[in-house]
Amino acid sequence: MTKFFRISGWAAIWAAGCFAVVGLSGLLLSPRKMPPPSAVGVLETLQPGYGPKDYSAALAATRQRLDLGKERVGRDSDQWLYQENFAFAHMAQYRLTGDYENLAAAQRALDTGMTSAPKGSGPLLLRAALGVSRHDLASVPTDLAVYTGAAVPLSDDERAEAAAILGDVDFYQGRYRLALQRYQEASTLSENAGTLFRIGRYYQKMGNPERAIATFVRAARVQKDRSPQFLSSVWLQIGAIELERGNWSLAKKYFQRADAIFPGFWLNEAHLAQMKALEGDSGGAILRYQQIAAKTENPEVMDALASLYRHQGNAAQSKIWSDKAQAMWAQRLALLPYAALGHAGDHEMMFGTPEKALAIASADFAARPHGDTSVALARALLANNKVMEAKTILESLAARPPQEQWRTASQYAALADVYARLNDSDKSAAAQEAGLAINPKIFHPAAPLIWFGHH
Amino acid sequence: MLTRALLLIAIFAATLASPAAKAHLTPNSEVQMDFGADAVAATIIIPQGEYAFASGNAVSTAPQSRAAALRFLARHIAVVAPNGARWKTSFSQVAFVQIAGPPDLRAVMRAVPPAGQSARRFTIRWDAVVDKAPGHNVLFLARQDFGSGKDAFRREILGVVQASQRTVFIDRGKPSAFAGFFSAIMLGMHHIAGGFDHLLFVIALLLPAPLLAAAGRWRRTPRPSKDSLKRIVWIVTAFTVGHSITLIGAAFLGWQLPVQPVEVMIAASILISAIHAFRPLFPRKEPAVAAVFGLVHGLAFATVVGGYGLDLREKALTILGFNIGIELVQLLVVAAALPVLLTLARRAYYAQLRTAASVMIGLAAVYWLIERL
Repeated sequence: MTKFFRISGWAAIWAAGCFAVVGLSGLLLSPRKMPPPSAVGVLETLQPGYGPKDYSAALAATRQRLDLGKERVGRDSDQWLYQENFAFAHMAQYRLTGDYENLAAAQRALDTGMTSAPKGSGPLLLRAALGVSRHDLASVPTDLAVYTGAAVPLSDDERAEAAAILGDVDFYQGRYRLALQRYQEASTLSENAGTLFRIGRYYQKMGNPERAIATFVRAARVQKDRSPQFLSSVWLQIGAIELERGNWSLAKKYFQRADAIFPGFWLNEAHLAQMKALEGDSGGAILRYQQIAAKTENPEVMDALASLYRHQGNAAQSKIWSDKAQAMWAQRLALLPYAALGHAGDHEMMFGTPEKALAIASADFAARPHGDTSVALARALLANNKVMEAKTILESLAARPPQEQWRTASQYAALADVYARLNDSDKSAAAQEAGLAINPKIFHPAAPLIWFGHH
Repeated sequence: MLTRALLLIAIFAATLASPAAKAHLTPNSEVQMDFGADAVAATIIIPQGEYAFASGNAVSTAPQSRAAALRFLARHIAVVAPNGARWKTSFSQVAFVQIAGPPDLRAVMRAVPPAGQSARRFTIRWDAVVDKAPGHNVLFLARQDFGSGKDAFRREILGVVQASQRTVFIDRGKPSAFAGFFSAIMLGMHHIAGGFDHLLFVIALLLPAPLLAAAGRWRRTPRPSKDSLKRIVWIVTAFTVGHSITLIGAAFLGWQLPVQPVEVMIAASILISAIHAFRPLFPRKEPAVAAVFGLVHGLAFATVVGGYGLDLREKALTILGFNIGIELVQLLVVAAALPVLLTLARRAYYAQLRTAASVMIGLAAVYWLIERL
């Protein structure tokens, strides 16, 4: 009997050992397949509906709309509805080309429309939306107050859009909780993709990427007549979220989806060129950026190209492209100062002078004192050796209540630099850890090559 | 008035038209400094692209390219004493290397103060890259400072240089030999206490120490306690001698192996010891085996402190302190395990206990082997 127990004991020990070895080996050696997040799984099932099937077709359609609008306002310039439609056509084209001339033209058309409209009416809602787009928030609440106070009762859709635009003003003024309340109010009145996109952006910036992705996917689901361009933009957004949390391969996959759904769109192509750069294919990325820059004359693409050349150590080519971009930013600053401030500040930080970068970042922060401009201003202050001011700005971002707390990896990276400048090793390390928790690749040596992906 | 659909699209124009601006990250440089009694060594790491951008120099493995980089560094970096006298600087190991991500220019600067000046108080003047790239930062970190007891595992920032701030003043305070020695002891203690693999190896060797082998098995009747104790002392001493030899060799004679094979050999040593604890593989030769495997474990210890100290005295004190730290923890473990081991070895169920323990240690070794291969 004793012998039986002894043999059983040995057998049990060895069996446990063998199971453990097999289990451990399986765990270590089996390929790790992560199931796609459920929200993205839903997005996979959504197909584009109506609308131009690619960039060229979309551009042709907006040109047609612009021609029609031009003809109408040429004939009846005092018809504010014509002016509004003309402005809308310009905005649609801006959405495709990123050309600030379109925004400026839209603004002119709306202003003309307003002068001819009876008091208390006119293209107020679109002008308010354009104000947000131009980063010029000053007149937005006034326009919306007139719009919502009009004698003609507004539909739920219209009230929802007005609330959402007011939410944008709050968001860019740093009143994030209030912005969310307005977005939710808008969603209650009429749930639509535009408001859900805003809510998604809110969660993205408050450090909740999962909820942001789920919200962007919900936006795609509620949009019944989704065009290829729209669906492509949803993939681009969630790709940007993955990029911001260091999932570069997943981001690339989503950018490829965006590109496949709406081929030829330069913004999708620029994201893919950037992924090439991140993968170490500098030659391939340069070639793609050059093609896109030739096609679009876009200064952001030129900056990305100049940065990549600089990364390669090619000072001559870097200067050629940064000079071209510089000229474009100067034009844009003259045309639409508020809209261009952020990008022009980025350009100055990388290729210009710290003093000019600070002047631009300060102006941008004054116009829209929210998280992105706070971080940009802090970086510019650091570049000008104003460490304590940078510290105050960045610490105040993180010191707010949870629903009001901007949480991005780039702000913690900047905070780590601030503490480094103050020789506070512990706080610098803690800020680095906080940044890494959000984006494990925030300090990756290739991370400075990221120019696209912050929408 | 616009239709609802048009409105929604118009809103998208506001949110999606182009990428938003962001505070752009710039590729930065890093300088890791080691402080000695009479000199300072600084490992300089500059992103290759930033170097080429700022210097206009070609980048290649050719000697001319490295020579140009050396001249660039010498031209743009100076160390001065508080009285304004320049330190003597020399650069070595200048190379373009790729360790993680894009390649870097790496070099080691050795700086020696003028006669009568402290090696712990000085200013670095630096305008390499920052004069051409305003957004570029150079982060100065203290890596090792025996005089203040600073080891390489704590990140300590000394300062940052950029276009608008091109000097860093460094004051390490008065040196203390005790601080460095004490820090090395603590490092040794932390290293072995945190590195279960070394302790498991020792424990696996101790498990059968109270037993006698016969016919390829461990006998159930234990040795006398005095013999067991003697055996355990031999095993622990042999392991200590083994790892001390390679640790000293690595620190003073530059003995080294790549980290991965050393780590794999350590895992293998634990597996072999675990099997031995189950069935005798090398009965009565445990001290010799402990000494041989100790040599391998010493190479791993050397990766922690091998590069410490800029002069012989500091190196010697560091190695001594580190070894003392290791021995203290080892003795603590042995002192805790010994009475239990000697008592349990007399129980009937010790064979099962020993087998279970050896299986668990063996599993841990297999896990480390797979992980490190």
